[in-house]
Amino acid sequence: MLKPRDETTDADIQWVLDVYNKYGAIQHAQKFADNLVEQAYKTIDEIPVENKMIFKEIASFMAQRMS
Amino acid sequence: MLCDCDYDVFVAYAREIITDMRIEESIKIYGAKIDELLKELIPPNRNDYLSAPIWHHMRTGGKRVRPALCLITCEALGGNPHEAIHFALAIEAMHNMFLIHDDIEDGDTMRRDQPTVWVQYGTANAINAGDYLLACAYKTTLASPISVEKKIALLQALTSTYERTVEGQALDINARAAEDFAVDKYMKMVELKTGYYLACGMAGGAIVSGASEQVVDKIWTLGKTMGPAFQIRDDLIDLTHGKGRGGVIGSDVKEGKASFFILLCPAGRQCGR
Repeated sequence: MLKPRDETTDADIQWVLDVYNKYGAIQHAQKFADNLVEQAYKTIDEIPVENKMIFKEIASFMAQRMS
Repeated sequence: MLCDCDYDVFVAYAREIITDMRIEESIKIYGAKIDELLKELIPPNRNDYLSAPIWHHMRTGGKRVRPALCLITCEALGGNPHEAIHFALAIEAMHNMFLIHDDIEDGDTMRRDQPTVWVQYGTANAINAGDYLLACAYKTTLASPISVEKKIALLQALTSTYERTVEGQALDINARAAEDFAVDKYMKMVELKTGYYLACGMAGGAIVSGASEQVVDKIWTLGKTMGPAFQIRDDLIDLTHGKGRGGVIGSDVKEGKASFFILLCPAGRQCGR
């Protein structure tokens, strides 16, 4: 991250990706995002309207785009 | 500014969409409508050094999700999407302003597999194109056929979103390679950069429908949760499929972007080699 963009090589990028993979960072990030989506559903339950379905559908649509 | 004759047909159409179709289908259909109306807001092929770069960018794609969500929310809360269409266009104009300026700031040369505006037309024209889109966002909001009170609330929502998103972008740019980058700072940054921006359309749709402040506040909260989730997903796409930049994987890494992943490695700062 500290190298200027034009000095960053493909090998540097691969090295960073390898570090991410080694520590399971990608899977952990996906799980973190999933937890945020769960929180979003809880927020929807708190919206003071009768018809919450539309918000659930919107959240579900967004969650699908995230998978 | 926008053709009144289409409105009744549009409203009837919208009601049918909401009740009968899945959200994804609704977004697709609303998105097509937004595309048509954008051409009225910013006519293509004008010889003014603005419409060409703007439409170069607009034609690269985009699903018009945010304006569609504005109209869907308005309708679902009992409002008239006819009254929300101007704000829906404002959201889309502001969204594209951010993308055009973001490409300059990030030095990205490709978006959706096409040259970015600053590459095609030069940085000065790209800045002007973005600025003009922002002006259009305010212009169309002011033209909304709603009460002054609702119009002021929409302008507050638009201004607040603009303010917060730029604050987030400033944090993002300066978080790159920052030594004290941590999860809490990342979350603050993405909440500002993506949360308001994601919720603004829905909040605007709720305002136009006449929903209470409590409802609107919860929608902002929803955005602040979904926004970071969306950003993490965007970071994931960069590492797995690339972001429509000629199939390049890891452009965020190359750019030195403050991605979430670096925080999840015990080796953390190793990635700053």
